[in-house]
Amino acid sequence: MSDLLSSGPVELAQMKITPNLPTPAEPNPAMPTPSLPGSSGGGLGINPSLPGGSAISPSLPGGSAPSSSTSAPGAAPSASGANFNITITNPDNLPQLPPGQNELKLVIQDPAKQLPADSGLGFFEIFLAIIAALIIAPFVQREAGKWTANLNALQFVQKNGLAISAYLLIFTTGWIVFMIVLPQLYMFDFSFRYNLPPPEIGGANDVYTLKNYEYLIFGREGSDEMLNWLHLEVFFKTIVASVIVTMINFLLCYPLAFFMAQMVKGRGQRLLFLCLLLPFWVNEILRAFAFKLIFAELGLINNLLIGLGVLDTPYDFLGANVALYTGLTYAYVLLMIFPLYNAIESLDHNQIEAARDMGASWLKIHLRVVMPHAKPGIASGCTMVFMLTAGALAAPNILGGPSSLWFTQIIYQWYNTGGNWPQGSAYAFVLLISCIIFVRVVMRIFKVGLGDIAKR
Amino acid sequence: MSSVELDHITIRFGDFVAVDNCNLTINSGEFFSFLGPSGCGKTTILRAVSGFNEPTEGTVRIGGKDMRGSGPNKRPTALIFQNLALFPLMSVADNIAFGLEVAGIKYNERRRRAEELLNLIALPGQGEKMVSELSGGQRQRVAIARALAVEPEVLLLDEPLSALDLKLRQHMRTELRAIQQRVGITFIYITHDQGEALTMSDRIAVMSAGIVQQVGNGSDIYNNPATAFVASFVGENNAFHGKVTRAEDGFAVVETSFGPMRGINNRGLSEGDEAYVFIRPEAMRPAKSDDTVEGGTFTTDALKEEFEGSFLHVFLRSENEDKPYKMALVNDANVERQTLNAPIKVVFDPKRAVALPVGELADE
Repeated sequence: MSDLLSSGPVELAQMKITPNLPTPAEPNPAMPTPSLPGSSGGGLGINPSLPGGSAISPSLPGGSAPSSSTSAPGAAPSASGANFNITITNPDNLPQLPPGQNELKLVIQDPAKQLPADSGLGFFEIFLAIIAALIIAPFVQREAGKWTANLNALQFVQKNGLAISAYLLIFTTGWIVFMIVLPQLYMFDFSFRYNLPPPEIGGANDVYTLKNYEYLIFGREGSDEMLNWLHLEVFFKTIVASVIVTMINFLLCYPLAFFMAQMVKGRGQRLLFLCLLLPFWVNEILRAFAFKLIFAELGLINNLLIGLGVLDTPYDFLGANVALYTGLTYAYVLLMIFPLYNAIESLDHNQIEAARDMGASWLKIHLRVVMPHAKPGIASGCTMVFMLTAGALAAPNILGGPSSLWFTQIIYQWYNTGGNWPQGSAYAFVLLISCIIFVRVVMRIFKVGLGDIAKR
Repeated sequence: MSSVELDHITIRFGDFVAVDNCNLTINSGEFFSFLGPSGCGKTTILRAVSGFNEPTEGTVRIGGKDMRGSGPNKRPTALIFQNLALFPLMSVADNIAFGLEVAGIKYNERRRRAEELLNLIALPGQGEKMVSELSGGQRQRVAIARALAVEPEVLLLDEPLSALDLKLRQHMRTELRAIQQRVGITFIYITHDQGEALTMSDRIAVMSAGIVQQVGNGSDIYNNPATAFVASFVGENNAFHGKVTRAEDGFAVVETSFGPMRGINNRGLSEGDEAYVFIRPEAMRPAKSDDTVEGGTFTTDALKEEFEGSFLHVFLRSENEDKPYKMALVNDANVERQTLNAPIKVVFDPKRAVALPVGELADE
């Protein structure tokens, strides 16, 4: 269960283990379910033939339950027939095989050959690119509509000059094709394939399958559970938690945005903006760790509360996910504030005064005048915050309690520790599509068009 | 229906005095206008009446009740904004019924009231339209209906016609006046357009630099201006500067660079005072060869003519090159074209001229 964010120390201790199995139809039947704490296995699926628990778990985040699962209790002896390719980046951290562990054949491989050659991008980058693409897509769409509307390409060229029109065309097509369409198609295709060892890619066994999607829903074949509850639960928890985080974010940001847009002018406004912006010069990960320190058992807040006599013993804010939700809310606060600010700022102040003059309470003014006006901004902010929260990795990794798991963490495990890109792609795609559907449904309910969001 | 008392109101923003000791009573059911150039403090007074700002000193009373401390939503006033501030996302009927909606009145009752008001403003059955589908004049009327829906005791109008074109503006004047007479509530109207103020109002307060210069009905203000500012701001006027040489029988004789001129002396000017004599363009006429008026004759050059239809304007040389005097001759059958760039003898009736102490002049 290593993670991108703590990658510094953990990556060193990481082992990439790819099973070479004789049967491509089920290349990795025992792909792990990323473990809940306490369960053995440590999230590393290296052991196709050791059903009793995986043997090697070199890294665990934050040092919770360090390497305890290497013990492989009751190690089953039947490892015959399986070859493992293990890359050990940092031999110092090589976990020790307990006595009685079955023998592993270690083949030190060139890491470059480990994964398909075109795997330069991590999932997180791709995910961010998709989010960015989704945000920008309406703009591009709108522009595209304009262009088709005046089909006369010559006119377009005449209007903008050759250089600019060429730049615009190349940039937009390049953007759409290379940044949006191709990566998505690539990942989409990937999600329907078996996780094959590099030599077999493109071979006879490289056929399409729905198995990666099936796995998310039904789990491993032959498992006792009818559904893959572990992953599904994490999935739904992630969506619900993201909704809650988005709502908290909105409730926090709306009054501030309103205040900044309609109530203060000039210096006060600039000062507020600065106060909002400056903290975001600090790296996201540093901020997350700072939250961790503040919320830790011996951290600032516990000390304060104990000092004030509110608490007798430290409260486990991290365990209760207080830190996680705080961190997630704070991480995307600007993405909520600015669309809200823009939307509210464009409201004629006279309308607020007119409503007030006609006897409306502040609540009514906001519900009937300000919010309807700011709806596109609200939709825009909520969409961005929801999407990014659902796709967040840093905060859940650093601030998540031991019992919490974010869906992105599972995806990350599939890609990284699990080495199963097709499975990861399928999971990522499910998350992406679900988020888009969810957002569209909510937008439909509140009667906001995609174009409205792009306006902000 | 309520009177509005402005009891020695002073409103300051920091060091800036927006309204300086304004003390007047607006009668119940009156159409009262504040007239003045932009920045004279008239809107500030309106906002003090509606409750958007509190006077620094003094008291606003509506219907005898001290309004200090009650916000705009608690006052029996309704304000029509300069840009109308209709709610663009609501239908016309929802706009009109907004005040009723926030007061918790049931949907059906709201609809009924909205329809009544739509009839009042001559837009029957247009409640389902969006505001954007209406013309400027229709929006204007919707704004009035929206304000009237809350049944205010005082309706406050902040230059509501300024965004309309001339024709529509003139039409809306008549309509506003008619609506006011139908509903019978107090209207307080803010404008910088003297035409609007003169045609619609029962009484007018002319303001300049935060000070109420004069309160009176239209003809009072036009014919008997109390200050140099009022004389020069309301209607066109020619100001002749000089020193009072004689004051008697309600007239003052002012020695100007064009000779002695007589004007009504309502402000108690006495000998030696610096003064203006104001003569309306329409009070002047070219002298026939033999007629002279005691203290009502002067000679200058005719500079140019402008034919305006009902009037022929003749511009006369004054002390100030940029501001020639203006004489307006009614275009009757025997109006004579004047010889330009030649001396011209002009006469006026001193009873229609006003002598006032020197003071700030309105710049056109």
